[in-house]
Amino acid sequence: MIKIEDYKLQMYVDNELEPSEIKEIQEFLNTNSEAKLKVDSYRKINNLISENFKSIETEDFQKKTIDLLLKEDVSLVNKIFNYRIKLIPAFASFAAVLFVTIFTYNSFIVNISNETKNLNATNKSLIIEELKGIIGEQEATSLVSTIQNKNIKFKLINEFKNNSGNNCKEFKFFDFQIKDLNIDEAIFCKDNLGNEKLTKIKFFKGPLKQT
Amino acid sequence: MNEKNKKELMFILPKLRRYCYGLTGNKDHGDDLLHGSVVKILAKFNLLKIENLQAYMYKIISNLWKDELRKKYKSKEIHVEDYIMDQVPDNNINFDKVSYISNNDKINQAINTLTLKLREVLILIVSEKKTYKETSEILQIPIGTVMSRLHEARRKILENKDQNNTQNKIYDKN
Repeated sequence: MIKIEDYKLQMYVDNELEPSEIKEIQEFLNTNSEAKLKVDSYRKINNLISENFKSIETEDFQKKTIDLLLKEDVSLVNKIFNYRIKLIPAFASFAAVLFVTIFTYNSFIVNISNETKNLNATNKSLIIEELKGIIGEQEATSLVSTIQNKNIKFKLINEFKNNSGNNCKEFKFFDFQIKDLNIDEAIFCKDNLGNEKLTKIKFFKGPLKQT
Repeated sequence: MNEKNKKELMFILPKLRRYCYGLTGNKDHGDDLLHGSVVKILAKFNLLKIENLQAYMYKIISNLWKDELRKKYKSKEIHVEDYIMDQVPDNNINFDKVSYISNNDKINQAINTLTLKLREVLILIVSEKKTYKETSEILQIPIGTVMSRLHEARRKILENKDQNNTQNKIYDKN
């Protein structure tokens, strides 16, 4: 059984005591020669051990250990793990770039579809042909040159295939007015020979409502 | 392992080697143990977040040496682990006295008669200047155990010293 005093003496030698306890021990050692002898023995052991291992510090290391540290050959797996923290911002950057790219691309597509274009002559002719039945052939023919010279702005709002499998485009017009007709939308489909045909036209009569 | 970690490891290498020598009591075994611990930390470093490299290395060294001893004793078909750690002064196995000669042969010999459990505590506190708390963290044992092992180690060394003195006196008389 170890006496409590021995623990305290040991702690005193190893500098593990509080200043107040150190003073207490020092006073105790002044009056107890046996305890003082024990403390001296502990200190002597400490000094011998410290001296014993001090000489080792100056000796050379094994070459293989130094080589291991200097020429550390990192495996691929380790490389990946080693750069895991760097990979996070890398992946984040990549994701950001990807997001921006997709967003830009989508915006680009939207911009194309939102872009207003001028209706070409063929489509204008097709509309005029269609209007002949509505406003009369003579009236329509008299408007041909006016319409053909006019810039009719439209926006492509839909592309699809019809029941026959032909490609169709749906246009929305801006300020396309012929006489008292306001042409709002039209669908053009290509037939099997590749000729474009007007399949649907949407218009209303009278002035535009002011909103 | 990045350059900063490598520099830190290089810096603490002499201390680690001193601890390895203390545990094994032998220069060659100590160097091999140090090498093994460096191999282990290089393999583990990228997988772990190590806050105190030095303390972690002491832990690796202690565990590696214990594993080494377990292997040795298993081959001799002794299965009681505590027997290895508590009773057998492992440094007597294949102890090559020629490979490590110091001016303090007697203290070295006295340390080598200690069991591993006592020796690792003694070396960490006395040679490596670790506090009781640091030692308890490295070896993962309570502070009270650190203190009792340290006391036991010192007591045994003093006992050994006394025996030597008595033997010398008897020898002188003859």
